[in-house]
Amino acid sequence: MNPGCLDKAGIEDALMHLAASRDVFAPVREGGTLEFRRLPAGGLVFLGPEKTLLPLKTLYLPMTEDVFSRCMKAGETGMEIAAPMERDRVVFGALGCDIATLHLLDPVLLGEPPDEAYRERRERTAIVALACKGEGPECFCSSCDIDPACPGGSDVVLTDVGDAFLFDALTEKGSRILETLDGRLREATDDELATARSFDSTAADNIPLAKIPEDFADLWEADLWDDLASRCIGCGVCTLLCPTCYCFDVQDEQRGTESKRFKTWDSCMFSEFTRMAGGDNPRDTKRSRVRQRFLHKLQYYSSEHGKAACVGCGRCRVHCPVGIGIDEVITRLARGKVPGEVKGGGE
Amino acid sequence: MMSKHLLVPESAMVRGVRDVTEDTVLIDVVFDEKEAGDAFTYLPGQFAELTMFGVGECPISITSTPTRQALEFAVRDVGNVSHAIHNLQAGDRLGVRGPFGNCFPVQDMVGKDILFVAGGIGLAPVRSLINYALDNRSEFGRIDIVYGARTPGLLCFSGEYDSWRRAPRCRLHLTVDSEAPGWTGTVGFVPRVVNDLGLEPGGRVVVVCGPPVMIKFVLADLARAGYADQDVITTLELKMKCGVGKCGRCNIGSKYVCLDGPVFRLSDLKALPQEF
Repeated sequence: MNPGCLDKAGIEDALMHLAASRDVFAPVREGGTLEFRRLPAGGLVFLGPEKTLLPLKTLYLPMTEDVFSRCMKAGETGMEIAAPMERDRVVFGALGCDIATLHLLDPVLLGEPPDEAYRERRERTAIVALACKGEGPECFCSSCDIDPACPGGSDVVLTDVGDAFLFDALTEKGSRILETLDGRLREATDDELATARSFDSTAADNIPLAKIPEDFADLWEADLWDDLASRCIGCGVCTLLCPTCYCFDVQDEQRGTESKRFKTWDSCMFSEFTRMAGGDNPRDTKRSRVRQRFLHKLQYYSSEHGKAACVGCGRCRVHCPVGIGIDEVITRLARGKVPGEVKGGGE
Repeated sequence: MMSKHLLVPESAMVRGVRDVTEDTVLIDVVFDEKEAGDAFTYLPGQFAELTMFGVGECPISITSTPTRQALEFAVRDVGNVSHAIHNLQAGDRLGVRGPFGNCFPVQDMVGKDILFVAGGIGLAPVRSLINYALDNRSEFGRIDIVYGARTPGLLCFSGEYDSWRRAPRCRLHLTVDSEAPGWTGTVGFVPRVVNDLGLEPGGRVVVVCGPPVMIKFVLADLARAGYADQDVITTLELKMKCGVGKCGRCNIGSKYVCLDGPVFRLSDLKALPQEF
């Protein structure tokens, strides 16, 4: 299907039209915070190059999700498995960094045995990306092999061409969305097509991800960990806002005659994460937890899956109360191979 | 066995519960669904996640051997879930997910002598392999079992010692840390007993499981005695939730104890960051 254009004034109406047949999610500003919400939602839909506070992963890995429930009455042994979703979904306005995340989560969560809830959400969600220039001061997606102006892994790409969005379907799923919107889309003008073609990323591409030593032994005793641990307050906000963090906890509870299991986000920055019932804890220092967080993303993950688990969104740096960002860590780790050469401080 | 959802256990019934020490019970479970039982095929060294519905789930090594009928777990009373397991009675229900992890390299051990070194509850996974080896007696060489605990009351599976002593080419060396009323056996720490045996490394595999301090001394002594790192095998215990390498907490560097372990050769462990 040829690219079509939709004037910005008609976008909310178009989204609500789609919402009649599926669940539509879009960034909505409410109380100053931009979050993906299901429409209709209170607040204003915002399709622009601004990151939501919580990343797109929340739509695939909710903060808390039910796993199963079980009646505790005598003689009953059946378990009811929670359904992850009802209607098919479409997400509007996802940015390239967030979408790239899904391709980093896939090998973990779809690897045998797959997380069935995640798989269903992946299969039944269409992604309408918004082309972005990566202009935020925190952005370095271009250093992570991501082109935010042409986000891979999406079904439709929207490009802001002034008073309208250009809709370009990349997949079958995307074509169906355009078909649903047929009659609302108009043909793009030559000017609009030219604007879309010249859309380009300006995100920092000089964060040296590829230069991080591949052997953990080269980094294990780096002074950097002491420096980071002395600044870090262990709040875990970096892991909760990081689009590539997927670690989770499993909890059970009983209410009345029903027992329930649920899965929740967890964080390697919390000492409870690895503390065993008997009290032993292999990562009982902040230094060991900070090291785990960064080496998991930059070394362990890449040794398993071929690339680092970072998409350059910069959320960790923006929201860290003490200003620790993974871009800083990458730069410092890339500097030295020998532990003694990786010096803390003096940035 | 893999159930329909990776965090949903199969329902199982407790057939029997008995004390194996002052703080450890042995539960024998049978799946409610026959297919679930048929699908639960395991080897010594693997573990399962046990669910106490409404309380939680915890990883427990399988202490029975696949060469026998029962599916057994030895559980020490240390946390919320294990405490709830201690309150189970025959006929009660619990959930079982698994089996998870790798297993002892039984194929590589065929034809070799085996020295088992265990301390306290560390005997639980080792017992699976001991009974497996005794049930396939002709496949393995001489078997020595060194087992110790702090007190005689903390020695697990005392009901099976006679059958181990009676098995052909099998010797059991029991010890407790200090003198105790009624105890007439060896007194002393496990590493000393292992040293006193003076078993030569040639053609022998050592399986070590127990408290970290015991493992530390035994490993050092074995190295001095000339044992190669690949012939020394141990099992690790870390906090594990999902059992399938996704929840993120049991990694040591890029290895996951729930997938790449819990059984490791010493040569593998030495290649990992020392964070366990």
